[in-house]
Amino acid sequence: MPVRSKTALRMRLRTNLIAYSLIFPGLLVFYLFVIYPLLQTVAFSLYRYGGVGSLFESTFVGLRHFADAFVDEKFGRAIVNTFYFSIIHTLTKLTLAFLLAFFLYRKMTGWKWFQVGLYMPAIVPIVVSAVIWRFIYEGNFGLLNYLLRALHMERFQHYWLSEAATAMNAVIVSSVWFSMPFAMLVLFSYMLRIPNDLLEAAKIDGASTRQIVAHIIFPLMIPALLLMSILSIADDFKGYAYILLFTNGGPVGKTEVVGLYAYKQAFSYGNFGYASALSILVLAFLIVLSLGLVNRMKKNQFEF
Amino acid sequence: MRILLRPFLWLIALTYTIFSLYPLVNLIVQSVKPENEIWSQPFSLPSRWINDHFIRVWEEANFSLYTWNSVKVTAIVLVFALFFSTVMGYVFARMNFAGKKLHYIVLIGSMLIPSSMLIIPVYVLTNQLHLLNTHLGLILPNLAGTIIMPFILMRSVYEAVPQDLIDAAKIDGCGEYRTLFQIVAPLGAPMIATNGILVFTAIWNEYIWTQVSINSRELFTLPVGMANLSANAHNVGYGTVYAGMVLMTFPLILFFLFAQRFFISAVTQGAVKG
Repeated sequence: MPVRSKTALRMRLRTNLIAYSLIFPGLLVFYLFVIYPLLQTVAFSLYRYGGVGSLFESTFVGLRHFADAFVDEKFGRAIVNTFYFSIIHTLTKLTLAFLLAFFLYRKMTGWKWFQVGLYMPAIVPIVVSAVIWRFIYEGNFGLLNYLLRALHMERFQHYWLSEAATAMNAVIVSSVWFSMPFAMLVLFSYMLRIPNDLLEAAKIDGASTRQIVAHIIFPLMIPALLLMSILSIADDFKGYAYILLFTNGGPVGKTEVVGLYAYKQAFSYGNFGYASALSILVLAFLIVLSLGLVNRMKKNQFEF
Repeated sequence: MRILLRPFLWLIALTYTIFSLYPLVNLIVQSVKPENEIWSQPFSLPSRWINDHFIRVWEEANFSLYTWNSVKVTAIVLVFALFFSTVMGYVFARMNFAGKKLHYIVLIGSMLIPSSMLIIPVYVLTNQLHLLNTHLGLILPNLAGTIIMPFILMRSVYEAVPQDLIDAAKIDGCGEYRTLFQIVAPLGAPMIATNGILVFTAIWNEYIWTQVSINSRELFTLPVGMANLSANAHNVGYGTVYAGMVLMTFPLILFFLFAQRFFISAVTQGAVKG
């Protein structure tokens, strides 16, 4: 049936044409500013490239940058910092988020007001959060030290952001301030999806609230908690905007995370090639992390 | 020892809410205080309420200009991001075309790529296109970086549209374009609002790329203007910095209070579906 297949072909061509005419502009911007740069990163990582001029006129170094990364002490320090930051930040955030989500879930007096109030810091632009917390932690006239002085607890005063011992923890506390609300809302929305008959049945069987939390709600929340931990750790490995604004990695590199270190390699020292290699290493780590998640999720799949 | 669960939870929630909100309350109070009281009595109410800092930050510290720049960049990205994500969502949900699967995998896969990693090659590319230090050079990478999530959400909405509706439209003589723009697109309106919030907050607050690509003061957006202002806090006065922060934050908070439900669904849908 040559005639019919010809019309079918024309129809297919027409659909293709319409589809592409609709998606072309969006795809073009996406491929040009996301995918092409991604491929370029791989190319940059193989050259000693300063970011300007032709890549191919700069020295080809092969995998040297990757080898360098493994013996770069500052990169090693940044990795240790990032692990510390992401793990402590995630644990603190999720513990609080779980408790507060449960508080909302129980619909205790005033929970709607609390939900709005608790979410507020997440709305604050990151630049503003950084300045607010710099003023709180400031050593001489900052709000925290002022408060400690007023309470006659001078011995607890610190130059919070310039002492090696306190800087990273100060970053973590202030990060929890604006990152907790998101985790809380997500956990809350997962809790709302726990089937009511499960809880009713437990109540009829005479289970106490504590038993319900420990034996029903918490186990059912494990996939969500796992998902949120991985997302949070991945975010902490990717993001550095807040730390860039807040401490810029100081004091003496104590709060420098990998993203910030790569950023500085490119934009402060002009080592675009090396910085690209570092980003690729971070991306590889993130991919392994999320594959691990996918596997775990497959194992204890629980749909409700 | 048995801890009473209810009062314990309530206490935690109350304490944490104070920890959440006090810095914001303090922000307002500090911004209307005379300069010499800001650090000598940071916790007290002002002896007299003044609006000098606001006038100063708006006029002398150029915040009027930065606000305009931010509005311009955000509005343009917002319009295009919503348009592209809606159209792409529909096409990927309802049409069959060559290369669909490949594009889809690339689009979804790109969610793993940290935008912070792309800054390095995007800087080189923007430089080659002679777009560094222009607003177009802000708009294009921001647009590319923000359409994926809205696209995924729109696609999930349009996948759920009953085929009967689309068939009926076609029988009534609508072509693909009219079916999309007049029949199907309006069904996605609530999700488009959700996407609007996601894109708006992301672009309005974007700092790093603007900091890297813009040099001229007259092109600064609010976040970069704010960062520069706070770096000079000693010279311009802390009151001015506080006023700047209030100007930058409170419109967003008001917006949040009015569109709360949309905000909360924007946040949770992004995480649960993504």
